[in-house]
Amino acid sequence: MSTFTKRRSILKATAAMAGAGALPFIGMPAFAQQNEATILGIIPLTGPYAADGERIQRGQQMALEDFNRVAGSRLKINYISRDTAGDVGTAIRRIGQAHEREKPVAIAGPWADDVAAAVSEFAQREKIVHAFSGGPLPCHRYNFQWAPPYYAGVRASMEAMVQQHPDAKRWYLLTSDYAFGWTVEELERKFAPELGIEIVGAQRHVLGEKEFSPYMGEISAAAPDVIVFNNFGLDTAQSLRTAFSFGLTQQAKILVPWGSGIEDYLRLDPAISQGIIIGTAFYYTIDNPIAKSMAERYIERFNEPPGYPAGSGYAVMQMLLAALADLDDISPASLATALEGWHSDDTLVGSMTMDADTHQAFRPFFVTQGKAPNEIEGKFDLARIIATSDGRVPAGALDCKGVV
Amino acid sequence: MTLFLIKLLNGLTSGALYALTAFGLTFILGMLNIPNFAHGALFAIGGYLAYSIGAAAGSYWWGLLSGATITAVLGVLLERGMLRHLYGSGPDDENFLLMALFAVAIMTQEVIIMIWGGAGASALPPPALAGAVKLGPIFYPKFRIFIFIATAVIVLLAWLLIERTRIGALIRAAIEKPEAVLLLGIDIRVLFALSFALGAFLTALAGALSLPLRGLHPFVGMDILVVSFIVVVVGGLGNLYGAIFAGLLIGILQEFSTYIDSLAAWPASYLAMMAVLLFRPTGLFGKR
Amino acid sequence: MSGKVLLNCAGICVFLVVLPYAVPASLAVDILIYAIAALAFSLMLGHAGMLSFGQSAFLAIGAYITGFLLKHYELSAIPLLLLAAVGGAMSAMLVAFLTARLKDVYFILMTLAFAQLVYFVAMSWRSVTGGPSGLTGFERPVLSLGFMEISLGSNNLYIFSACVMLVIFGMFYALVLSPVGLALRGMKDNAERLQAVGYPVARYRIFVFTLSGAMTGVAGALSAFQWLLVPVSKASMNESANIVFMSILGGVNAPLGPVVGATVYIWLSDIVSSYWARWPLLFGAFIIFIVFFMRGGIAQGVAALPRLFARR
Repeated sequence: MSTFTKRRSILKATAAMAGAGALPFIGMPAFAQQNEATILGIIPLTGPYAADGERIQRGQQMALEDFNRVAGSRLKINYISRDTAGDVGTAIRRIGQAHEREKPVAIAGPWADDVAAAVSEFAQREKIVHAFSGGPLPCHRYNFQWAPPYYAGVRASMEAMVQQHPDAKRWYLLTSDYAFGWTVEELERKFAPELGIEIVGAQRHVLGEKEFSPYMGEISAAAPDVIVFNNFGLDTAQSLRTAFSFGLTQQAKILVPWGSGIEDYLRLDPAISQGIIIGTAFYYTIDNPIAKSMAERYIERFNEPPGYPAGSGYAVMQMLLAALADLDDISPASLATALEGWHSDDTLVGSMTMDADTHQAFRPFFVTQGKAPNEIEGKFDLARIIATSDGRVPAGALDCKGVV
Repeated sequence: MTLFLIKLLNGLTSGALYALTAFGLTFILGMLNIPNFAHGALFAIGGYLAYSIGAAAGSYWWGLLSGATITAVLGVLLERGMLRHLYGSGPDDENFLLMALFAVAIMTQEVIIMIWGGAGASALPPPALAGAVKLGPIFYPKFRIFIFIATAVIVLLAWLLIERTRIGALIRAAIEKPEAVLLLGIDIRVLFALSFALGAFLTALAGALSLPLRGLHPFVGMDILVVSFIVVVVGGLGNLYGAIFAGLLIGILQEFSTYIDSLAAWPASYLAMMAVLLFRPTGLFGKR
Repeated sequence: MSGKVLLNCAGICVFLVVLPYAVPASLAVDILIYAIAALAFSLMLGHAGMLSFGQSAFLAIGAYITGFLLKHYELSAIPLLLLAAVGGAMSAMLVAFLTARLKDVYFILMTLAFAQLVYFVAMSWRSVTGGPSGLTGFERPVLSLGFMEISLGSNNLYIFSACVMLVIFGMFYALVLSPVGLALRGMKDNAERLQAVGYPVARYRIFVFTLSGAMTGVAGALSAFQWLLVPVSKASMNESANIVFMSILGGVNAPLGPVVGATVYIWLSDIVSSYWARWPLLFGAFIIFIVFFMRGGIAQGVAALPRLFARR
């Protein structure tokens, strides 16, 4: 794939001059005959994650539009979407029915981890490609994970905190009680000794908790230097607000090792978010042409910056479309083969390789920090990227040892 | 010891909100004899309106007051416009009334998502009540203390209204003996509307108060609905002051059950309700 | 009276034959699953006057039992259905005892509380139920008829579910038409009077509850067969509410009402939700319409059509 890089950059420059902005997919040789493929996007449009689902769909559709603009003649994409309603049963039912009727070659999504697990199993049984962001999930021939491995993300976030505050050695962990939380907490405990960190206490809270005051007492009593919030999305916002009201965010440093990006900052008042470190798989100020172009257009269209849901929606779809466009014969098996080892320097997050053995993506992870109220220069200028890791992990560090 | 104190205060403050909501529910239950399955919806609307108006007016207090008032009006419209057609004493009538109220609750959820989006809303406490205050060995958020005091004041005002005013006397009489009130020439429909308005007002107030505390999300109505009913059952259906004490009790129970397991808060509440239903169905403090 | 009986029996048979041609097989099976659950609910509400807001408990228990057994043991379809039915029945009996002296809103709240406790157990007992991620990792069973084994691919599963539905409908309808059914309806109208005349009302309550629980348990088992997964949402209040609404939509008093309600609800929700995410708003409005004008649900509306045309 990288043989096209030079040609791609020339074409990109041309396109940029023509005012199209930087788009991916440029530089693909034309094919004589137009192929057709159906992609099924599954997202939570109703239910507890409805707000995220709407944004994921925006990202997916923007990627599709960008693709059609540049490479639409090579490949006609039939995009269908289904609402998971944030519920595993509903999701599987609707996917099953869509699969029976439309025979998609790939599924993009979903959002919630438990739905993703069920979808992955379905994809393995029915042999369709499943590309998603999040996890952790057991890997198999047909699923492909876009988000960087938790190993890389947690490591990068912890290192950024240690670098900024080398004396803050006493850490307290507040973890949400499901697979995501357990994985992140386990990694933190693993890295802590190396980084000279002492874990002085830990509590688990139920996913979707609204009342965090019961947890504050213990945290306060432990008097930690750093409080780590191993949760995501609304849980992060709610727990941080409560911690703030108890004076804890002012007394200790705050780390959110795996967050949503701009959404986290938008949900909190700058008084709360200043100085907190949030690691994320996507942040809208990423400094590459594709990301800048996408962020600009997104802000113009939707009056808000793209966060993790929109970013992952866009990027996952982009990856599928780019891989599909180069295929002669469209089938899940050939797509899966094409994705193994897929590499591009022009993805939304920069340079990315889809590892053939583990079906995990090796790509950058971003650590951000909230700006103080007097540093803020615009409605969305709430944080800056303070570190970017390359997302690589040591061999054997991933759970997936090899694809079945 | 500090941990215990913080937990106790937490329980009392969230319990105060439960108590306020349940107090409102009991008005409606006692007066109109309807289990208001749309009660959570009123809580949510009150909170969301307070959020928008507070943001627009730049003042949390205006948001609080107008949110509650508008919700009270909406409540009256609901009662007079729709519910009064469904009062009846057949075996099916109450069930269908509950269905209709539940449908209203579901529709309200959707309307909230349509207007305010699915992500939820929250606000910082007003500047006067931001931050924490030192209470003996601990620091405790000022706003939470305010909620407790505010609830106490509101309950006191409501008590004064009911026990010491003519309107209150009429309401009490209408609860005891509707026919007698009719004989007095009072239009009982006005009393019904007033009671519903009062119940809705109190709940909406609780919703607005919870905005800086727990924030709001479109499904908060359902959560509050269930807790409100747990509280009124434990306190005794129709028992106004029982609702207050039961609210505080449930708040404390939820807070301390997290000692056992982080998930334990809500099954503890359900078990409490089941225990009351089995062994003392008229509630801890008896009926009316 | 017997004309109506014939009509209902013919109706269910026609429905079962036509359904797989109208919708994809998996949707058809799903409709049957909820139709059974709705029938079970209408037995409680329409014929015994008990509004149970906790049917999800029995659905989930049936599904989890099935999934768990399939994951760890080799069992064929019918024994699994029976075990799920037993699970549903026993838990329903427990609820019957818990609610023995309760009426009206107290009854509803107790059923809700029980269902929520089941949800809590489903969420926390990870080793058995898989916790929030649900129970996965089991295969569809074969249908063993003694002399031969039939594998349950999607078409066969539909035929199997249709047969189960037929049996359940038969039992349900026979009960409704029997003297016991009459007694139940008497219980709904005025339980005290019935008790005074000498009927063992308490025993009838337990009976109808148990039967309803068994039926719902079977529905849960079928759901496990179909999706090869038991999501924790099966035990949620949302699921209970769906069952209630489906039954009301179709009509809790007419025998075919719940079947119609389940079909319309599932089919419409899939279609409408892809156009308008806020469609529950419409649905809520329709429920209110039903409460005001059409308490017998769609079944009542359909039955009124001949009269409508006759007038012209």
